[in-house]
Amino acid sequence: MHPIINIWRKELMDILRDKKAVRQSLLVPLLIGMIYAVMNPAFSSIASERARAPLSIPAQGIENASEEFMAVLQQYDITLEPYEGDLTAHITSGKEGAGLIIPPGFGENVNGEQAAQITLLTNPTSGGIFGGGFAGGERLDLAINTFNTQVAAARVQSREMDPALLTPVSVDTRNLATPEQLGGVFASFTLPLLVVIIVVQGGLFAAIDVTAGEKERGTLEALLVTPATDVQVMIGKLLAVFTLAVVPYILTLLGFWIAGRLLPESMKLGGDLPFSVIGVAILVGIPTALFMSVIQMAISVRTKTFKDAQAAAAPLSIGALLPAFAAGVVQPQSLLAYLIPVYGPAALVGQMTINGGILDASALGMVIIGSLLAAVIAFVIAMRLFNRERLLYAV
Amino acid sequence: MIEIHDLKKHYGQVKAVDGVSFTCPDGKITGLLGPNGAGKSTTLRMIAGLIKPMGGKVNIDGTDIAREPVLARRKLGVQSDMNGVYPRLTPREQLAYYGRFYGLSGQTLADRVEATLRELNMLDIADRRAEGFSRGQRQKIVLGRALVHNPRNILLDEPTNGLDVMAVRETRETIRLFKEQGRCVLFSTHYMDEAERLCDHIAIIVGGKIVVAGSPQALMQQAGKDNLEDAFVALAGGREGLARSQAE
Repeated sequence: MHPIINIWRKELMDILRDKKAVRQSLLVPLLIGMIYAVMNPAFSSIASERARAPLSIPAQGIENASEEFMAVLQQYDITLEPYEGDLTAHITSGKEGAGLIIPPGFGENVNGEQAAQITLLTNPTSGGIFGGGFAGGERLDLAINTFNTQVAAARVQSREMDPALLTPVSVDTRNLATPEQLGGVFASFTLPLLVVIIVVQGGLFAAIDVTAGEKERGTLEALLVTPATDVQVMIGKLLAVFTLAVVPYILTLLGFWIAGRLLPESMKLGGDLPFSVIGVAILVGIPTALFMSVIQMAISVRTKTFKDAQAAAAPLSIGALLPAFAAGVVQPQSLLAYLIPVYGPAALVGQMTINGGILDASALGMVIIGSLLAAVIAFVIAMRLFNRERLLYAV
Repeated sequence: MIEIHDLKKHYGQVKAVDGVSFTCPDGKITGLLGPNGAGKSTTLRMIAGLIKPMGGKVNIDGTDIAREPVLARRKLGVQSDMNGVYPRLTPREQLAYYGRFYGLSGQTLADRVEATLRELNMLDIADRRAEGFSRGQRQKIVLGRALVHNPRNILLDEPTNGLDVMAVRETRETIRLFKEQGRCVLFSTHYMDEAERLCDHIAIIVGGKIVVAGSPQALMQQAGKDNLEDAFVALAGGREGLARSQAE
């Protein structure tokens, strides 16, 4: 058996017998993927659900509102609930997202074509990101604007003028987002992060175990006196790390896609992520996993103990997320930008989720070339660090 | 046969090994003795190909380890002083793993592993994971992986260090067995009684140099002492010499 295969096989068998390793390399990524499969469509649809749900707004001076005003609110599924006490403090506290104060004479002033003022209190922070404070205030604002337009149109009409005079530009807004695009809004930012997290998480334990772990156990010297060359030892170990990064990654993404298909339609905001997105995420994840595995080994190979290696590799987990975050904020301005490891794959996956799975083949090519090139460069550096004398005796 | 000629290794100003030469013939046990820091382990590591010498030559059965490291290592079985084992693998799996590096496979590998397990009296623990093994049991695995490919030349770095009485006796018996099998054995130890009992030839290294070499009897005679421990202290330069060597 070739030394590389021998080392690869032994490392896999060894690591997979460690419950801690199995938990960290396989179960944690799978769990992250499953949670994400449920959370992604759920988060995407929460805002939409909030926008559609009946809205109950605390209000003071409801008796001052005209029937016409109340009818418009009803059109928007808004009901006013009488509120006693300090409504401003109540809304400021964030307990509710919007409130309304209707002053005495409001209805009479509107009907009598007098100036009428209404106070709309909003707190977009109410209930956090998905709490609906923002949506509530927005809907109430929209209802009041509609009432304004209606009143103005009635006044213009009573003067035998065309109400169209009030709206020189009428806007015909059409929402052209496909269900797939709607389904991908949340995923366009979070899926690239998921890709990086799983790739980093999957191989981390293995990278430390096959390098610092081997040193800590006192078995490295025995391995290095065998006829296996340093390059064979390094490649055999790298293959084991890569396998443990890639297999859970592929399983997680496939599981994520399957779980997404099994979710009820009501949770999906009308769309699924197309399989092409998952397919490309897997495709770009493989060279990214290779790159990450080499980096993790290069970091761990110079440490003496498992703990040292964990401490040294910890910044990598955070550092790897930065390019993925950047991809969610700054889109590549040229094809060359896709060559940047982690950023390129994250940007490509993010774009595909938002455009309904349409693939830019040249970008995909650049991503694969960039990641493989980076992996080769990192491997050469790792081999320079893998100097048996320095490695064994820190001289 | 292991031939070492003018071996050198310096770390900055420190001459860890400075022109060491000796030969370990087949069918004999050669002991490399010296105080801590004398250069024993560095010499053994250079012979094993773990450290590159700055000068000199190591031949394993005529193969220069610097020129043909893979071929030379195939002829060598090494038990280093870093005697860790893989706790999640059984002794049988560990021996098979090392055997494959030497080109063994299939039934040949299985037979060699079985023979090594039997030779080291390990069959009762052969299929148990090594986690929780005693030091003596772990030492057997370490010896086993150095022997699984049936090498003609064996390098043992303090093989009885930290073992209990029974394990020490067993290890010494195994080393004697190697000699009976006509193998070349080079080993280092701190235990003078062990060297006196086992070795046919002893090289004493102090301050990176071989200060004296010969049979245990010849060394005792040369020092005018009736035991190897006293002879060692005398030949290594007395208490002052040993202290100076360790300080260096």
